[in-house]
Amino acid sequence: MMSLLTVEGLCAGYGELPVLHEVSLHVAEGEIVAIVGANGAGKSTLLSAIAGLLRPTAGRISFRGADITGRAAHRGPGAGLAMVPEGGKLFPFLTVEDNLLLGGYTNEDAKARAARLDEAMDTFPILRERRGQLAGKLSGGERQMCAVARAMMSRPALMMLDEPSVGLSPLMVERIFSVVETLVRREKLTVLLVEQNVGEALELADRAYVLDHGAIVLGGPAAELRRDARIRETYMGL
Amino acid sequence: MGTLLSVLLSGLLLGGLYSLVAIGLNLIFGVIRVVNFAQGEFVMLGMYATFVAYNLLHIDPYLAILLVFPLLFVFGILVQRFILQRLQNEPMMQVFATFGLLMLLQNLVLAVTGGAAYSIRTPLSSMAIAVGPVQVSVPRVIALAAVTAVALILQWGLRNTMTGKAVRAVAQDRRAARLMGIDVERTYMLTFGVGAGLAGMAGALLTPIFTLSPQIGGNFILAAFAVVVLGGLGSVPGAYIGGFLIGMTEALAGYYLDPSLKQAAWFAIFIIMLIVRPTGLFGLAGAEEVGLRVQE
Ligand SMILES: Nc1ncnc2c1ncn2[C@@H]1O[C@H](COP(=O)(O)OP(=O)(O)OP(=O)(O)O)[C@@H](O)[C@H]1O
Ligand SMILES: [Mg+2]
Repeated sequence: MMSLLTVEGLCAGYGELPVLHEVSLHVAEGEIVAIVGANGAGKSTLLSAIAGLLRPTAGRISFRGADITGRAAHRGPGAGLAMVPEGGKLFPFLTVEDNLLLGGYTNEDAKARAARLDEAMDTFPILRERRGQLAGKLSGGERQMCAVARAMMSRPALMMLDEPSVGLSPLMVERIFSVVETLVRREKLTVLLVEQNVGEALELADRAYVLDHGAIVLGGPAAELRRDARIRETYMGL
Repeated sequence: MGTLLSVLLSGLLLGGLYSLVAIGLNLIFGVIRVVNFAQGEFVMLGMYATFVAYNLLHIDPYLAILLVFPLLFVFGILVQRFILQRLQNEPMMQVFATFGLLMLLQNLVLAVTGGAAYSIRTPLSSMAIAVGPVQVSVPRVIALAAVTAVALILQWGLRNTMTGKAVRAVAQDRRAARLMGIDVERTYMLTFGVGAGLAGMAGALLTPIFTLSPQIGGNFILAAFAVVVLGGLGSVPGAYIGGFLIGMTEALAGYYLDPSLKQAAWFAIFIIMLIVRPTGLFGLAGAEEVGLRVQE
């Protein structure tokens, strides 16, 4: 399998504060890869650096064979890289429909965007019901679904998800994850998923990395990590 | 009865002028979150540009809008790109920078003109039409019509075009906007350009009404700030309607209280509003953190 995303020796931080220490990982086409780790481990920082929201201080990020290190974030969606940030980050004073349309801001004409909007609302019927409502008024689960649908609007090759399960009921987590699986199959989507909900994440993912204090300390097939005693003890409380 | 009508009409027309200046100011504040103290000076530049176009090129002041808007649009883009963007991470410095721009532009124009008072007299500028027993000045009616058109077009564009939606997205969450593929810096340039262009347009519309002076921006900017606070920070309809409220207040207070109290009256409203309802008439509660409030 071809590697879609490769990260080598990535260092990044905020001002004087270094957060990531030589992180290396790769994601192959069609995979679901999870990055798990505790609060403050640097998971969001890692995704921000890949998305271009944060300039790395060292290392290299390549996506679809091109070097994208330090590339401006707004060039991501057009090139096939989409991200669902922590909490969804919908535009609260725009309607659900406008939020979704903005997900397709870069690469499609109005007609294609409208068709894609229809597909998104087929995948998430609740969003069709709520299309005229302000996004700020959605429930937690609806918000997360809208955020995923919005990211899908640009037909990304890689979707990065930052803790989609946070604050949701187990049932809702199940639903979101099952949609992600469907999208992977149906759209040949590749997923890089950040989670604190280690049990669920390892169920969904093909492979996983463990991030601890800004460094990758463990990695491998998700099924193996699920059996790993250290993981069970530290992250799953078993 | 005739007097009240006359006072109300003059308030309405004055309000149109205030709205005209306030809309650009509010657009810039709502999206970029910069209070542009130099907005009045942009209006002043628009007036002088119109004056020059009239005297040198013999272009009618209203036709000059086609020249002055693009001129100020480009000027606004340059200010955003080379001054405000460089101070992106220091909001206080941005405010000082616009204040510096205010001083610079005023003194520059003062130096060039030597402080001479210019004015334009076209056939239209002294024309009046009768509304019942009251005569109203045609240039003020034109300004009122223009600001109405601007408010409608702007509101329509913000709601219905992809660029408009992108502008609102940037106002609400710039990080998320970047993740949509929106170039935030370009959106800021566009917004500041349009805000400055509208100030220029306001200048062209004011030129047949007022005598030019380098300090004339000050006459409008204080009222525009009151309008913005009254109508709601970032709201286009708020700036539009707020203008009329301030204009009416000024006219009523000027006639029924005392002419010298007219500005005091809207400052009183301004302060009461800040205390009672800081989001303004059209502001949405909780929206002060996310910027532009376009009514849904
Ligand atoms: N904008 C910021 N400015 C300064 N420091 C930050 C910023 N964002 C995060 N940090 C710090 O960087 C470190 C890593 O944060 P990060 O958000 O990447 O962790 P995380 O693994 O995503 O945590 P969580 O699971 O709580 O979301 C933390 O120590 C945090 O305090
Ligand atoms: Mg995080």
